Amino acid sequence: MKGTNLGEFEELVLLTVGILYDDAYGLAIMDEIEKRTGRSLTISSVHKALMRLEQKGFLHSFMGGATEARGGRNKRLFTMTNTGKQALKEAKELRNQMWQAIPKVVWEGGNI
Amino acid sequence: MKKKLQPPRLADRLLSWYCNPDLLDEIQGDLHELYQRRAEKLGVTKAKVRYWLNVLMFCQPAFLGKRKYHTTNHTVMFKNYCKVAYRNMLKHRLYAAINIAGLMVSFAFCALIWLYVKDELSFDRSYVQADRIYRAWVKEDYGPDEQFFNTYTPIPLGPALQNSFSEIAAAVRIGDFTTQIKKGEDTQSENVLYVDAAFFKVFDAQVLRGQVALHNMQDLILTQSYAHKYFGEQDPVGKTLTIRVGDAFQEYTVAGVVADPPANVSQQYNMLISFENSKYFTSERARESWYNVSVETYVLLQDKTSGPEVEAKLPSMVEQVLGEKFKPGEYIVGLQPLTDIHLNASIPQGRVAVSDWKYVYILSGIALLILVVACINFVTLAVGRSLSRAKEVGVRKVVGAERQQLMSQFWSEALLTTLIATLLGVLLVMLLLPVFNQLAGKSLSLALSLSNLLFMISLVLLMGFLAGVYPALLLSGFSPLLALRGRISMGYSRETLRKAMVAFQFVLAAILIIGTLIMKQQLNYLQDKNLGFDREQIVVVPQNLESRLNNGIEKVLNESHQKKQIVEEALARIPEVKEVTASLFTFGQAGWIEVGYTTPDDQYREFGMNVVDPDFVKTYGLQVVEGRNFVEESGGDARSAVLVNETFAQAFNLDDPVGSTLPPPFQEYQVIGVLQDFHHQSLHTAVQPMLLVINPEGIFNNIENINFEDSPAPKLSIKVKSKALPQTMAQIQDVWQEVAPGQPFDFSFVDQSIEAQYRQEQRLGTILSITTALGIFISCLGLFGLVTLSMSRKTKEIGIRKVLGATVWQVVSLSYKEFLGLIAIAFVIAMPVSYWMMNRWLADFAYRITLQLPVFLWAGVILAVVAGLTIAYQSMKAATSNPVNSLRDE
Repeated sequence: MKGTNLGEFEELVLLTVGILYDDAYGLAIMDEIEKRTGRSLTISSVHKALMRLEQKGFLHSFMGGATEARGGRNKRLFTMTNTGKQALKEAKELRNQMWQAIPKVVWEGGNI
Repeated sequence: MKKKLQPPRLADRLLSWYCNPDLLDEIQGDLHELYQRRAEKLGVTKAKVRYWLNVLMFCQPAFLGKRKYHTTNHTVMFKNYCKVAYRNMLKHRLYAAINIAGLMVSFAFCALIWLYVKDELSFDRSYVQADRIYRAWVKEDYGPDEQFFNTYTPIPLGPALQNSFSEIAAAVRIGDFTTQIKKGEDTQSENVLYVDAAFFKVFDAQVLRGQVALHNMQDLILTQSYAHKYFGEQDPVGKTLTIRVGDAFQEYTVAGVVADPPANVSQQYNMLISFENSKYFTSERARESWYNVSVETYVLLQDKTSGPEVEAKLPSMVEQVLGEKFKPGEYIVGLQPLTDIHLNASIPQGRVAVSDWKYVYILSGIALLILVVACINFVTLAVGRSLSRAKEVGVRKVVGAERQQLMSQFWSEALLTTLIATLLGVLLVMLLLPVFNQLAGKSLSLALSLSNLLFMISLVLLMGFLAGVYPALLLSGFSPLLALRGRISMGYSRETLRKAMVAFQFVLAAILIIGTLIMKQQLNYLQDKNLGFDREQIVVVPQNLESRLNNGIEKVLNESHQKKQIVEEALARIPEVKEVTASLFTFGQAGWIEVGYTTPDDQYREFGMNVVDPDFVKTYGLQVVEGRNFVEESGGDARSAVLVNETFAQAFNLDDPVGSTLPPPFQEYQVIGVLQDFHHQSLHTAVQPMLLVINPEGIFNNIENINFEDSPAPKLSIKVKSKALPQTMAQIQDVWQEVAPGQPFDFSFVDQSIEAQYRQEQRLGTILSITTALGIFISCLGLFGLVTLSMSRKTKEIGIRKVLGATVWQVVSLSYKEFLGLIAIAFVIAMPVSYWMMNRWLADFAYRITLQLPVFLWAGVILAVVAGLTIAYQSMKAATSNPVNSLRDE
C-alpha cells in the first residue's frame, strides 16, 4: 500500500513521539531528536513529518498545553495510534530479519 | 518573572497571512518558544534572524492554504442568492423593471458608443505596415497672413523623397479626378485615382484577379464592386474600359481586381490608373513646380526607421531641390503618421475626409455619464429598499452569515440584474444599430469578436460592481439585533445622499436639455438666416466640357458660354424654367476661388471671386444695392467689369465704388455695381471681400496665389418655378439628353447642398437629442423610484393627515414640495455649466445666436413638467388611497 511505509526520518519522529509519551509536540520532538542523534533539524521539517504521519494514521493529535513562552498558543500534542505502533513493530521486525540474513563472515571481516 | 521577549511582529503577520489557519496556532507556538530560548542563549538579534528564517521555511505547500475544517459550500450559497434575488425581483416587479430598464438602456448606449469609438480608433490601422506609412505635408511661411499649410503636395515631392533617402522604401503619389466613362451608349461620371506603381506595396489589398502593378500607362485596376458594375459576372482582366482622361477618351485595359477597401480606412477608391496619366491633364510647369500642390504623397519607411528621424533630414532635401530660392524656415516638408490622419484636425484636410477627436471625447464622456447615472439609480433604489431587506439580513446574520457572505450576496444580486439588463441591451443594440449607423454615417456591426466580448464582460462586471458596492457595504453592516426588531432607521444622511444622487441626475438632464434646445435654435437660425440669395428650386448641373482649365481659362469659358446658350435655347420650351446661368462656382459649394496678391506698397492681401455670366445675379436673386448688373452683349462688361460685395468696398476703401477701378494691380477692371453681402460659404466663416467677374484673365495674371476651395469645373444653374418639381426635372433631363447626348445629368439642388454643409452639426444635434431623451428617461426612472419609496414610507403619515381632514391636493402637494425643490436646485446648478459649454460650441460659428434667458426657462419648464408627471402617478396613488388600509395594521 502506497504511503504507509515509514521513511527514515519519519521512523525517528514516530519513535520520539513514543519516548516523549505525554508531551510530544513539534519543538520537543525536534529537541529530543537533536539530542539523541546530534543532527541539526529545522522546525518546519519536523512539522511536516508530523502532519504526514497523522495523515497516514500513525499519529493522533489534540490541542492543549499553552504556556507563556508560546504567547498563549496551544501545542498540538501527539500520541501514537495502534497502527503507528504496529508500523514501528513491523519496521523493527523487518530490520531484525534482515540483520539475521547477513552472513556471519561479513562481521568477521575475512578477506576473500 | 522574566520579561517576555516579543518575536518580530512583521514575521508573525507574514506567517499568519499565508499559513493554514488550522496549523497556525501550533506552528506559531513552537516558533515563539524557540525564539524565547534562542533569545536567551544567542541574543535578540540572532534570534530574530533565525525566527525570520524559520518563518520563511514554513512557506511551503503543506502549510499554506485555506481552513480545512469549516468550509461553507459556496456553490450552494450562490444558488440560494440567485433564488432569493429572483424572488425579490418577482415580488418587487416595479423596482426590478426600473433597474433593468435603466441599466439596459445605458448598456445599449455604451455599447453603441463603444462600437463607434472603436471604429474611429481603428481607422487606417488594418494595413500590414500601417505604423510605417506616413503622409507628407508642406508648409510655406512667408510671414503673417501668408502661410500655406497643405497636405496636398507638389508633384515632384514623391520622386524626390524616394531618391534622396534610403530610409524610404516607397513613395506613392495619389491624385483623383472626376471623369466620364463610356458604358455602352451612355457615359457615367466616376471618380478615378491616379497613383504611382507602388500604391499596393504601401496600402496592401487583397488581389482577387490579375496583378496590380500598374506598369503600363493604360493599365486599370478595379475594385470588386466596380468590376461587377461594369463587367457583371465576367472575368474583367484583359477587357477594356473607355475613360476620358484629359481631353480625349482612351481605352484602358483592366490589369487586376482587388477587394473593396474596408470602410474604416481613409483611402477609398474604385478605379486606379497609373500616375503617368497626369500628363494629360496637368501642365508641364505644374509637374515640375514646388509651389503648386495637387496630389497627396505617402511614404513607406524602412523597417528600422521612425518618422521623426526622416523628418529631421528633410530640410536638407528641400534646400537641394529649391536651390537659390531656399530660405530657412520658409518651406517646410513634414511627415504625418497614417494612423494620425483620421482624428487629427490640426493638420489640414487633404483628399480624404477626417473626423475629430472632440466627438470621440464628447460621446465617450456622455456614455460614461449615462452609465454612472443608471448605476446611481440602482443604488438609490437598493438603499431605499434596504428597509425591507433588513429582516433578511438580520436572519442571515443570526444563522451565522459573515459580513463577507452578505456582501457577496448583494453583489451577486447586482450582477444578476446587470446580466439580465445586458442581454436585453444586446437585443436593443441590434435593433438600434441601423438607425445609429445612419446617424453617425458609419457601417458598424455587432460582430462576435474577442474585443466586443471582452468589452461586454468587463462592462457587466463594472456595472455590477458600481451598482452593488453601496448596497453591499450598507446592508451587510446592519446590526442583526436592530434589524430584527425593525429599528433600522433611514438616517438623515442616507436620505440626503439619495436626494443628492437624484439631484445630480437632474443636473445632467438639465444640461442635456439646454444643450439640445440651444443646438436646435442655432441650426434653425442657420437654416432660416437670409443668406442673401435665393436657394429654392435651383438645379446645378456640371457642364463636362472638352477643354480643361490648364489649357487656358479663355478656352474653357468660351466653350462653357456656347454650350450654355444651346441648353438655354432648348430649355426655353419649358415654361417652368426661369433662368439659366453658367459659372465656375455655384452656391452650395464648400468655397469659391481665393486669390492672394501683393499690393504696390508690398502688402499681402486676399479676396474671393467667382467667374460668372450676366445671368448669375438674376438667377440667384442677388441684390444690387448700388450701380448696375452686368449687361448682356456689352463687350466692355464682358472684358473688364466687376461686381463687388459691400465687404469688398469697405475692405479696399472704395468710397464711391461704382465707376471706380479696382485697386492696383487690377486697375484695368471697373466696378459697375455693389452687391449686398451674401453667404456663399457655410456660416462658420464670415463674409469675405468678394467680386464677380466675367473675364478673370486680368486678375489671374496679376496674382501670386490661387486657391480653389471646391471643383472649378463650369456648371449650369437652372432656376425653375414649378409646383410639380419631379415632372419639371424629367422634362429638363429630356432636353439635356437631346442637346448633350451621352452626357451624364448629375444634378443637385442648391438648397440641399447648403443643408449638407451643416450635416455634422445636424448629426451632433440628433445624437444629442437622443442622448437627452435617454438622460431624461433614466433620471425619471430614478425619481420615480425615489417617490415610490418616499410614499411607501409615508403611508402612515398620509393616512393620519387624511383622517384629520387633509384634501387630496394637500397631500399631493407635500411630495411636490419635497421633489420640485430638488429639481430647482439641480436646474440652478445646470444653468451656468451649460451656458459655458454652449458658448464654447457656438464660438465655432461666425454667425450665431446669442444665449438668452428664455431658452433656459423653457428647459426648466420641460424639466419641471417631466418631473411633475413622474411624481404625479405615485403621489396621487398614495393620496387617494383609503386611510383605513394604511392605518389598521398596527
